[in-house]
Amino acid sequence: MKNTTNKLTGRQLSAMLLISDAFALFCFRGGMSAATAAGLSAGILLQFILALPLALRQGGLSSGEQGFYAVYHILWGGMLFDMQWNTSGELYIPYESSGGIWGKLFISGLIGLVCIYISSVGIKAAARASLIAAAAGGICIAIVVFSALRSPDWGELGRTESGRSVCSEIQRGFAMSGGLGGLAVLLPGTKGKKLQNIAGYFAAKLVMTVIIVLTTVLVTGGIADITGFPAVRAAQLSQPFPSQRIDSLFMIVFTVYAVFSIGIQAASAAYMIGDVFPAAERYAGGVSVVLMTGAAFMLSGLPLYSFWTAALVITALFAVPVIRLICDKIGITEVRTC
Amino acid sequence: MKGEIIPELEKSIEEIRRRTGGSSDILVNRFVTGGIHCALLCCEGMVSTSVIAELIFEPLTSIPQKKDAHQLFHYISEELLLSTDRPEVTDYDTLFSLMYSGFAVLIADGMPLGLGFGVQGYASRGIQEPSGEGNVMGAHEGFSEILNTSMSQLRRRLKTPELVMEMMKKGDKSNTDLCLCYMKDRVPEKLLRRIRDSLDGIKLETILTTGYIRPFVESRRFELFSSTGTTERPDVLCSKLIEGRVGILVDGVPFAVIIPRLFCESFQTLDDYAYKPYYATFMRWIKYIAFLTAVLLPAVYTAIVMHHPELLNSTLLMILVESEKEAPLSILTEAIGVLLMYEVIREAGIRLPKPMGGAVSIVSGLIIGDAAVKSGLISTPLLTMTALAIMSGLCVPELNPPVTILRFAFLAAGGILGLFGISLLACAVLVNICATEDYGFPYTAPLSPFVRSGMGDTAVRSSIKDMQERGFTVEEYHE
Repeated sequence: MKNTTNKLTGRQLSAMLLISDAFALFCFRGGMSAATAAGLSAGILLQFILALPLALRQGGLSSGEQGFYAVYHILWGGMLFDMQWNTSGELYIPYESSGGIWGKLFISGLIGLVCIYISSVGIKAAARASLIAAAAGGICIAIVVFSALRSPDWGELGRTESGRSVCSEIQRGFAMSGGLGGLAVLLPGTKGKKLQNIAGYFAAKLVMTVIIVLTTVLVTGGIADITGFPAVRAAQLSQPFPSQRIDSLFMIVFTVYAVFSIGIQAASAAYMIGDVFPAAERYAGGVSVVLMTGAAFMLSGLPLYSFWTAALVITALFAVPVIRLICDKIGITEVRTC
Repeated sequence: MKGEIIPELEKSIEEIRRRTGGSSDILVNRFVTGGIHCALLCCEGMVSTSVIAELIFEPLTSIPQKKDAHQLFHYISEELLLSTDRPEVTDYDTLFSLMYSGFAVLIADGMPLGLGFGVQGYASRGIQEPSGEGNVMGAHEGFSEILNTSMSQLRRRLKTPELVMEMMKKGDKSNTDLCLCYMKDRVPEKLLRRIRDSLDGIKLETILTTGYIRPFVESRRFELFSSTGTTERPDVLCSKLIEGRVGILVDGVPFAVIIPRLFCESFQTLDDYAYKPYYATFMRWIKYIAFLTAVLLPAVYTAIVMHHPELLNSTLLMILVESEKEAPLSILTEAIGVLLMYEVIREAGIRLPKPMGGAVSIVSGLIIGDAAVKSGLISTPLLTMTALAIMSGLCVPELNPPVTILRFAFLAAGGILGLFGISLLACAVLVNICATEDYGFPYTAPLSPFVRSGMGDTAVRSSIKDMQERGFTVEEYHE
């Protein structure tokens, strides 16, 4: 596993992170307005600035960082599992809809199995697959967006949502950007200039977020406030043909992005668990998915877009790398891997 | 124990008889030449009798009187040019190895070594058109079972000293000749070294097909698609060698193994480079679509009809409802049944004697195409979908084994879990394909990792001039 991260390309890194971001947007809960797009965009710019110290970092992760990021990935993977659990109820998935709690468990179990497989083949394979999945998913999203924007009501962009400021949207943006921990972990093993890779990713994230949020606002319009999952509802309302429905197209993207976003967290966690505990390397993928499932149960019911979630993301993206830089300056870092 | 050649002729012949168990195909021709008792040993059916009579026996039997066997052998070696290939034999293992490869071996009384003469002349199939890699505009010759012939086919196309062909023997019992081919100025040194190491690790009794050696040069992890390819066309192998790949020819097998192999290459044929780029690009995309159709069409059809009918427009939906309501079995069962029946008929068509192949086609056509539909066991739309999928699979014959299995797997996933099941399985298959990698060459290159310059022969087929200027070697894809 040690050599699995030292061959990623900038595109692969971006694809992995964007899948996670897109999935978090699909599972977005609560009201959405043009202010949301503005807040999330401002948040992305802030995230870019906070990620800059990563470009200065030299070498791989220390054992302390590995331990922190392993726990972080398990927690974020658990949150993604929780998001999938809640959002999949809004989509029609055979057996899940009719099977009640057992149907949901069955579907989540299948996703978990594929995630274990992804983590077992390593980050490099997952990264290559992510690039293809992101491209294919992007085409599907483009179709949904195209069908949504056939007769837009641009007046919806002027609608404001009560009780939400740009600052609170920035906090929401941070709280749903848990994939940024992956940036800190995987960037040292990525080819090319670090700053260029970081800038490329955040530019793509900004474009994707704005397109999805604005499309959702335009489609859901007045019901955006009362619908549970606006992005899912927007996909359900965007139908290009008069007598056919393409909800299933969104379900395919949702499934693929769910699998990859959780699988990549599992693979990253497994990579670090295997590095810290070499004896457990063989089972690290399975162990991380099981731990994520446990984390999902623990975190279910807790507010996802809380200050504490945002603080955890900022810690992973900014605080830990900065502490590492300071330690490097003082000369007390013990680098173990990469 | 190799066993050195016994100088006494009678004892040596006895030893040969003992070691071969008196095998009937070992021919021992005793004669006296130059006053020395000699024996010419060969294996029946492996040598050319006319060549041996004209070029070996005639000159050998007219040698003037010699003092001893040493002088006789010196005379034969230095003054007679009996064949182009004349190895010296010092032990019985080498003697048998040469004899079983079509050499005649001369031993003489009082001489602790033998002289081999390459007079191979075994019956073999001539050079014929490849059976599995059809081509319209290119050459119509395939490799043959004779290794030397296959090597000469390569050399005829690449008349350059950069083309290197290394011979080696593998297989404890079969002693099969393998030939490692590469262009020494193109092949990555590390790749060549690692392939040699892999071949050194071959521990087999026999090598009867390329399938025996492929597991030794491929990754051990479970891979749906093979990261080594095969070809029965010398022109295809030459094009791969020019790109810096390594080929392995196996004696007795009219196929060459190519290392490394990429997924996109399964969709490339030599004809692509004979047609205009726009047509070649169009055909390539037809093959990509055919591959996806072959794998996914029955599964998507089943998933949509069983779980997601809202995807269909009302007219199509009514047609399907009308045809399916008569069928007594579920769509999934029907689809699995039709696909299984096709596999049975295909296998029977391959294994049966050729004259009976027509009968199989008629019976299968009647049973599936007519009787099954008329009796209402199978619906017409489903039969159309499965037939389309099967025909599409034939566009990419090299991928037929994984496509067959994946078609069933996706069908089951789509039938049980609808498009969700197909998406889930697609993720697992995609990751498996992306994890396929041998010697540091990702199977999915140049798609992922994305190599822009590689798109010139993947997404489109750019002009030969452009490709020549690019000077592509496979090392570009190494990670």
